[in-house]
Amino acid sequence: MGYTFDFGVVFARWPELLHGCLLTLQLSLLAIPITLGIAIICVFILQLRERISTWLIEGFVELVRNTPFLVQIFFLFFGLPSIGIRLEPNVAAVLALGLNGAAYSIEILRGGVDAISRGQIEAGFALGLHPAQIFRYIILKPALRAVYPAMTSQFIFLMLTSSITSSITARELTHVGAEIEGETFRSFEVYFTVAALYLAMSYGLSKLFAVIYRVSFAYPAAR
Amino acid sequence: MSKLLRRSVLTLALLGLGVAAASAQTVDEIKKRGVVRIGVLSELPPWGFLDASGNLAGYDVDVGKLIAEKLGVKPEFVGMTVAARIAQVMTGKVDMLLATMGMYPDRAKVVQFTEPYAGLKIIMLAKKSQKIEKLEDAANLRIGVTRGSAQDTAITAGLPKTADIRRFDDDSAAIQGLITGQVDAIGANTTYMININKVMPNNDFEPKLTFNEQWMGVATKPGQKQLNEWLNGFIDEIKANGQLEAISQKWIGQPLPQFPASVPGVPYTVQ
Amino acid sequence: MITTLGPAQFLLLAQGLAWTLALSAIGFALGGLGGLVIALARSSGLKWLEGLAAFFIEVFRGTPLLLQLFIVYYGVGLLDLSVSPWMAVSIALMLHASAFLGEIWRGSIEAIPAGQTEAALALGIHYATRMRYIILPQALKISVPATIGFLVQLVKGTSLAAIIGFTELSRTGTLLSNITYRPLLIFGIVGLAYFAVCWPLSRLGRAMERRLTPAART
Repeated sequence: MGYTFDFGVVFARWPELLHGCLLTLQLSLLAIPITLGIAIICVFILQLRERISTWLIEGFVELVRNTPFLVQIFFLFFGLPSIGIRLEPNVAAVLALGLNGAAYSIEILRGGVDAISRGQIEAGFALGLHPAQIFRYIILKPALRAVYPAMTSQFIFLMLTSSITSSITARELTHVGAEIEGETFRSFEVYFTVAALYLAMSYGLSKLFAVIYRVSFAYPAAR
Repeated sequence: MSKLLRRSVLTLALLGLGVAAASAQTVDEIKKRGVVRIGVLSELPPWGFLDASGNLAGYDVDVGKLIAEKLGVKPEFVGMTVAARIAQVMTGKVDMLLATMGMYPDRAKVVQFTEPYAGLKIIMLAKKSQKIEKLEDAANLRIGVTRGSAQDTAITAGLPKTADIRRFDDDSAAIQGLITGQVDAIGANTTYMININKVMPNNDFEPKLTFNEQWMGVATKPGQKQLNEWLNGFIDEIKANGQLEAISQKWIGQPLPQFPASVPGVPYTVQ
Repeated sequence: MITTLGPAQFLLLAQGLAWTLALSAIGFALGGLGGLVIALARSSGLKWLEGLAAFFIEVFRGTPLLLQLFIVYYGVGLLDLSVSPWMAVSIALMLHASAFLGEIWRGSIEAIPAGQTEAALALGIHYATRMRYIILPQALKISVPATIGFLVQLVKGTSLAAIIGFTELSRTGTLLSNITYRPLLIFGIVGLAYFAVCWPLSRLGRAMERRLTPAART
């Protein structure tokens, strides 16, 4: 009894697979702004060098970075209801992805901000700029440019991580794949196809990020 | 990319065919190996679960032990999830499944069943206050099921496509979904209730609907005539000598049900 | 049947943790060997070999670990090799680690100034000796922080083996939470157990990073 491959039954479900891809992208594209927003706010707060807030942010970063995502979503989805907070699967997924991504992004962005020379910031003060303006133009934008490659590969990693949210029944590509598997029993063929779709999305996102870089950071870099 | 993909798939397929021909599983081969690999569920008390000392135990495991004893080999139990079990036997990870697997025609197209060795009922479970008298009443509820389970099939078939059915990876996650209120009702079987009652004596859940009576057989890869015949003979024997009755009393606290002489669309023997 | 969280349950969690550590160790050890091969191939100077290694790295970095586990798990079975779940998970983690470590170490190898290679070539030192005694020892030193960082990712990644039914720490957590019905507590404990393993590693990695680049912050 040999095993004969049958990708046909999997490819026949292409509309569902395509829909799954869109849902995965949707989850990721909702989570990315959350990630970035939290990271920017937290890095700004870190610049104030105030003890308690620094301690809190660093604690959050360490906690998230040193525990598995699977445990984090189980905690959010199955754990929080016991204190009365019940999140829909997709909401829990976006929230978990956003928080998880934020912890990594804070570290990345902080590295970029720390690399900006003091003199540049002092120059900003000398010019009479408002601290918020200094943060935005002198610190944030150059820092974002410096960390752009690290940050965007982090976002692609976030998109790949979203596959884990299938286990709390968030509807995304892996979950769609699992449903097809349940009906066709073609585990290998289904997951091979799904993996290829993820690869295509990673590739597509990295191209998209390259375009965004050219558009938003277009002004000439220091020569 | 697609060319590369096609070529690697082809290579894999050829490899699979070449090696597979050499290792059809027979009773003699299992005896020669000295170990029978049996797939059981690891999360569904009282059928197959981890006991307090972390070993697999339950109805299915006890039947498996009898199989090994009768074969004169050592049993090796592999704990698995509902969703993964068919792939496990199809890909040769285990010789047979005693994984609380209901005998249904769609599954019988993929695996070979023996005659039934156990039975239960597929039901819907929800809070007492939830009014569900027929399946349509559940159309607007959030319903949890274990992906690929009999409950999944029954509920998916009975409700419109728009129904909010949430498919979890395993039984424990589905039950957890019900208890934490992430879903309003779950597709279940009669033994879920035994378990929930044990750990939460004052719980607020009750069986709502009965979809069907389910029979469980031993599943092997298709075409394994010798193994299938041996297993059928074995099941007849433990039904006759009271060993299966004892297992049923031990785990479910009920006598054996009246097993059917045939299940529609599910042959007991290799055709 | 179990109903409360007692010593027996903590023993189960400890066993789960032991499996997690064992999976991480084997994935890291095998992945280290594979990673070395990939890193050397990726910086070999042979175009086809570099392309092949780059493709391998792209595939494993561009797909979710969960899917890699699924594919290897069901895939090796199709080859009709009798492979235990434990072996299948190890193979998947090894391939995953090979790609990531390969990429990290390639970066370190390429960070060694080209002049050193040129000098070695001029002295007639051939490839194996050059790598073994000149390039790799230096590259290894640079790569330590990133390597430790990946080890932390790997430890956390082993939790995904739970989804295919492998009873390591996370899955022990699910099983226990299902028989005790105290998910918040159980997942809290499981999370802490991972933290206890990963946090010291993360700190170690950062300390080494600071030691390597003492004057980076001005």
